[in-house]
Amino acid sequence: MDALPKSFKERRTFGQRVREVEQVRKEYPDKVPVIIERYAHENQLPPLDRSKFLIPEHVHVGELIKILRRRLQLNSSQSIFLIVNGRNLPANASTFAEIYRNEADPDGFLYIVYASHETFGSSSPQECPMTDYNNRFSN
Amino acid sequence: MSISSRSSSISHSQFSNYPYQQDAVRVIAQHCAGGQEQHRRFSVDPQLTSFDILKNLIGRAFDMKGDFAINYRAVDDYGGEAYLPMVSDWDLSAAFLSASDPDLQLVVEGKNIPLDVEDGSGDYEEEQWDMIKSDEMISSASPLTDSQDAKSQYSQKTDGNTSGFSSQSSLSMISRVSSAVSNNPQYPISFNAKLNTAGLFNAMEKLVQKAKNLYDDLSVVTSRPPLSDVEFRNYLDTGGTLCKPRELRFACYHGGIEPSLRKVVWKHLLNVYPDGLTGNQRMDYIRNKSKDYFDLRDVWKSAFQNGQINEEVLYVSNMVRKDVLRTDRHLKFFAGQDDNLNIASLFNILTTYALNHPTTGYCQGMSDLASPLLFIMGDEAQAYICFCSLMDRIKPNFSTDGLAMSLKFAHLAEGLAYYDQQFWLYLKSMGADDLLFCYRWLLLELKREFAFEDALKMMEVMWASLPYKPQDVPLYEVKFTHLNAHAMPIPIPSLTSSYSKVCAIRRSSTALNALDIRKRRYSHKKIKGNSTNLSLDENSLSSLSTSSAASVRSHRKPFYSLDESTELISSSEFLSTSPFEILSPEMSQDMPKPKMIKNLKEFWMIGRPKSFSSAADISPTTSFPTSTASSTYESIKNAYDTDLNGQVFLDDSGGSRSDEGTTPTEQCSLADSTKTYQDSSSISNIQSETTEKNLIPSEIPISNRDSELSTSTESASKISGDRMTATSLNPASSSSSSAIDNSRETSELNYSYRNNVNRCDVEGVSQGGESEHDSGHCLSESFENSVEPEFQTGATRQPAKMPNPETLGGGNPFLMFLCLTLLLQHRDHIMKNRMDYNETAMYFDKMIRKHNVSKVLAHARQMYSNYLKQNVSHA
Repeated sequence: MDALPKSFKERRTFGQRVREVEQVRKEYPDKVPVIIERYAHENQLPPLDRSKFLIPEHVHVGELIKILRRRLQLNSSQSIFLIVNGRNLPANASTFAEIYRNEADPDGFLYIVYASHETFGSSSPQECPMTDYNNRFSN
Repeated sequence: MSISSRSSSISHSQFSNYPYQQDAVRVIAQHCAGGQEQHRRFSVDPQLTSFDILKNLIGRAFDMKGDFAINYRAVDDYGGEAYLPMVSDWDLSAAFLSASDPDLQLVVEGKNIPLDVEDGSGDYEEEQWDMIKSDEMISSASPLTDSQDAKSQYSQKTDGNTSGFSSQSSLSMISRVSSAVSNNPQYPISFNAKLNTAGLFNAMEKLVQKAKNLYDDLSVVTSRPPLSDVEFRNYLDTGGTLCKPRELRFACYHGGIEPSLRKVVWKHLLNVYPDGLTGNQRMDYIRNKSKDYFDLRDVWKSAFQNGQINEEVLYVSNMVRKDVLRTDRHLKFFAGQDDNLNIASLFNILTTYALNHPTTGYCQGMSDLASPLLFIMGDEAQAYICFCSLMDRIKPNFSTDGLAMSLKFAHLAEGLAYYDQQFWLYLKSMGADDLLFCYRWLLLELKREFAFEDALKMMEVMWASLPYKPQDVPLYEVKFTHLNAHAMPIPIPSLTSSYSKVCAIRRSSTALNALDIRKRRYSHKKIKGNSTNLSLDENSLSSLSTSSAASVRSHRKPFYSLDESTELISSSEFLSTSPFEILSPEMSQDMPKPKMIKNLKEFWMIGRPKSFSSAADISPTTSFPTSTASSTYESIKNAYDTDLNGQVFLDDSGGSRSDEGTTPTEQCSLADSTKTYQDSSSISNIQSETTEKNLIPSEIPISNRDSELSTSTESASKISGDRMTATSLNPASSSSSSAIDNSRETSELNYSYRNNVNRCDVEGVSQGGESEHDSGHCLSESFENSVEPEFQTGATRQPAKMPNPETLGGGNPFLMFLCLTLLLQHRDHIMKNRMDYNETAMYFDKMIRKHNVSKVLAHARQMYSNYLKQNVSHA
C-alpha cells in the first residue's frame, strides 16, 4: 500500500490548478504562487503544515530558506536544500520573480521541493517531482 | 465504494510526561464498515512507529483496500473534544504526546476519493495559502516564530483565514508582540531599544497597535493556558535540543506549566543544563550529576556513621533536621511520621549543600526553597542539582552582610513610592515604611505566601521571567572531606544576623522614621527631667533603646514569620497581650534576670543574656506588654545590639568579630563592662576612620567631614574613655539634644536627625552638639549611599523613574512586582482599618498561603509589562 502522501499535483487536476493560479495572480499580482513540498523520501526534515505559499516577488531564495528553517524548527546543524522544479538548485541571491519567470510550471505554479540532501535532480521538469523521485532513486 | 463510511478511532493508554519515554503504546482501533463495528487492539512503540507504519498497520488490520483517513480524539484546554486529522508524523507524535489524559480518541473521517475524479478532493479543498509577508522577512533576525502548538495550526485551518497573523488567537498575538519586542538576550521578557531597525520597528508598531486593546483586557484574565507537552516540543528541535529557550520562558511566564510537565521544564527554567544538549545528552548529564551528588552525600554520611564529625557539622545537621521536620508537613508528600523518606531526602539535600558550600552554609528558609524542588523532581539528586542552581542565584539573600536583602527592600520601597504614593505615605505615617514585614517575601521569593500548589505556579512564572543562563551547575563550592571538616568553619545559621543587619540598614534609610523616634525620645527626656545620676549604661541604653523602637517591632517578626510552627504562638501572645507601660529605670533594674526568653534566645542565639543586667530606662515610646517585660526588654537589647552591629560591623568585622566568634551580635554589647565597651568603641572608631575613606563616595555632600573626621574620632574615643564617669556625659547629651532642637529649623532637618540617630546608635552616647559629623554617621551615610544611591532622595518624593530591569530587585525584577502586587491588593483594607505597623505585619502574616495566585500573577504581569514599556521609552 502506498502510504506516501499525495503531492499537490496529484491532489489537483491541471484545470483546477490553472484556475487557482489565475485567481490568486489577479488578487496578488506582485506575489508568486509557489508549492513547497517535502521530498517524498525525506526522513530527517519534518513536513510543512501547508504547501501553498504566496511569496513576494522581491524575496530572495536565501530569505525563504531562513523562513523555512524557522518554520520547520531546524537547528543550526541541520541542512536544508531547495530544488526548483525537481531539477535545479536555485542561487541564494536570485529573487522569486526571476525564478518564476524561468521555472514556472505550465499550470502557473512554481514547484519547490525541500530535502536534507542536495543529491536529487530530475531531467524531466514535466513530471511530478514527488512521484518521480520515488521510482528513480529508490534502487 | 464501501469504504466511504468507514471510520476508525484510536485510543491508547496514558503515558508519562516526557516524550516517548514509554516503550509501548496501546492502540485500540475502531472501524465501522457497513454498519458493523470492528475493533483491533495492538501495541506500537512510539519511538519506532511512524505515521506510514501506523497507517500500514491499520490498513492491514482492517484489510482496507482504498485510501482512508485517520482522526484522533484530542481534548483541548477547555475540555472540549475534537477529532483532529492525522496526516503526518507530526500529527502522530502530537497524538502520542497529547494522549496524556486518560484516553485520546481520534476520529478520522474515512474518505473515498477516486483518483480519477476531477473535482477537488474534499479535504484539500480547504487548503489555504500561506502568505509570506514582508514582516516576516524583516524580522527574520528576531524570533517572530511560529511558536504555536498543533492546535492553533488546526484552528488556522478551520477558521479559514488566509493570513497567518490574523488567524492567531488574540493572546498568542500578544506573545508575538512581546517576543518580537523582547530581544534582549539577558531578559526574556524585556524590551530592547537596540532593536529598532526601521523595518522591525514598523512591524512592531503594527503589532503593538493590534494588541493594544488586548493589553487592556489582560488585567483580569489569565493570559494563556499552561505550557503543554505539545507546545513544549515545539521549543525543542528534532534532536531534543532546546532551541528556543526564550520562547519557552515566554510561554511559561504567561501561562505557567502543566503540572505533569514541571519535572522536565523546571530544570530548563532553573538553568540546570549547559547550552545545546540534546535530549540524550541531558539524560547523561543528569545521570553524571546525580552520581556526583551521591558521592558528595556519601562522604558526610559515612563520616556520620564513623563518628568522625566535628561539632560544627553536627550543629549544621541538627539545624537542618529541626527545620526539615517542620517544612511543608501538611503535604501528603512530607506527611506522616518523621521517618518519612522524603523528609530524609530533604535533609540530605540541605546537609549536603551546607557542608559543600562553606561560605553559604545552612540558613533557615532554605528548606522552604528546597521542598518544592524535591516535591516536583521526586528525586533527591535531581532536586539537589536544581537546588544548587537556584541557590546560586538566591544565596546573597542569606549572606550575613544583608546587602542583597537591603537592596531589595530599598527597591521595593522605591517601587511602592512610585506606584502608590498614597499608600506609601500612609505606611510612612505608621512608621512602617521600612517594610520589614516583607522580609519573608523577599527572602523566600514568596514561596510561603501562596498555597503550595499555587506557589509552584508562582515560582515557575517568576523563574521564567529570569534570564536564560545555560550553565554546568557546580554541585559544590569546596568539597567536604574529612580533612577540611575541621579546617573549614561552616557558618551557623546566619539569618539572625543578616536579618538584624537588614533591619538596621532599613531603619537608617528611613529618615523620617528616625525623626519620629527622635521626637518621642526628646519628649521622653523632658519627662525624665534630666536626672543627673544616670550611669553610663543607663544613659546609653536609654537613647538607644528608644531609637530602636522600630527595630523592636521588626525584630519580633521573625518569630512568627520564619518560624511559624513554633514561635508563632509565643509571638502572637507577645503582641496581643497587655497594655503598654513605661518602665522606670528602677523597675527594670529590679527585674529578675530574664527567664522567659527561651524562644528568643534560641532564635537569636544570644549566648550571654546576663550582660545586660545593669541596663535600664526603657523609654515610653517602646511599647511592649509588661507581662513579658523582661523578655521584651531582652529583645530590645538584642535589637539594639544587632542594630549597633548593623552600623559598625561593616568595618570592624575583622577584628572584633573574630574574638566573639559566632555571636557577632554581642560584640558591641554596651552592657558589657564599660571597659569592653570602651575598647570596642574605640576600635570601631579607628576602624571606621580608616575604612571611611574607602567607603565614602566623593560626591557625599558633606564637605567638611573629612577634615573633621580625625578630630571627631579622636574625641569620640576620648569620650568613650571618659565615659567611665557617667555624670560627665549628661551635659554633653543634653547639649546635643538642644543643638538638635535648634537644627530642626535648618534645612538639614532630616540629615541632622539621621545623623544624630546614627551616631547614637553607634556611639551609644551623644558626643556634643558641635561634632555633627562623627564617624558613626559617616559610616552609615556612606553605606547607604553605596547601597541605594537613588533611594536617598526617592524616599521623600516620588522617584521619577524606577531602576532598570538589570538592577531592580537584585536581578529579579519580577519579584518586586509580585511583592508590590501583594501590597497593593491589600492597601485598601489596610488603610481603611487604619492598621498600624504591627497590625499590618500581622495581617500579612495571616495571609500566609492565602493569596490568590492567578490574580496576583495577572496583576504583577501587567505592572511588569508596563514597567518594561516605560523603561524602553525612558531609555
